[in-house]
Amino acid sequence: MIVRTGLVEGDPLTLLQGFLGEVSKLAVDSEIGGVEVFVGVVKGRVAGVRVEKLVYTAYSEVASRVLERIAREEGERFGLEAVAIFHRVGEVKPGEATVVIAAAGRGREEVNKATRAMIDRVKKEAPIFKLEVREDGEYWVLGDETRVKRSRS
Amino acid sequence: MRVYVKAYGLLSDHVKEGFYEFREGATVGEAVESILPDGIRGRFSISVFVNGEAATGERVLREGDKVVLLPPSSGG
Repeated sequence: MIVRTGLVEGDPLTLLQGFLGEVSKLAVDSEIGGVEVFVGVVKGRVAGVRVEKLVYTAYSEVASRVLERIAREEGERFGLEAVAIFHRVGEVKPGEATVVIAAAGRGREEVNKATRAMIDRVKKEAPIFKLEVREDGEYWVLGDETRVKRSRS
Repeated sequence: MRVYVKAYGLLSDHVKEGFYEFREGATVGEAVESILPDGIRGRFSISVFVNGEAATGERVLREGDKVVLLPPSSGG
């Protein structure tokens, strides 16, 4: 199984292109019948309020391991041929990609389930943190989408 | 003893990165309790890593340990 994961400071869509190229070559001599891709993007508005940017930080040494573990475990659970998780860190503007998750396998059912499982786990398990900079202030976004207005001690 | 502390996410607004002084034999739980301000302590679920490995509150700290404090994750 091909497993490609990482925290990236640039556009994760460029890494997706490379992954799809690998999958295309692999598919020539395997049972791959489909690839599903999930791309998270920055919302331009939240509850009607304009978003200027998101700022992602990560506890890199652990987050990298967690992304790799999630990809490998879900890939094995669903019998996939190739999986990828690329997560952005740093500043990301509305419309830009924050995370790319891709699964390649025999059919749509397993790749769909695997993709959903991976994004759900990335949100909960990877030590990655999101600051939402909006026209009405800065908010830390927690895993359950709760927003906490930024305040410094 | 001196221990290096770094906090992420919303905790980074309340815990300055750097060396902190604790008594010999202090546990992770005691250290976290003493570092976090009142308004933050108990309000959020916090995970702690020591030298890159997940740690419980009972773990005893040692000179030079690197402690990382994490609020709930919010990737994606």
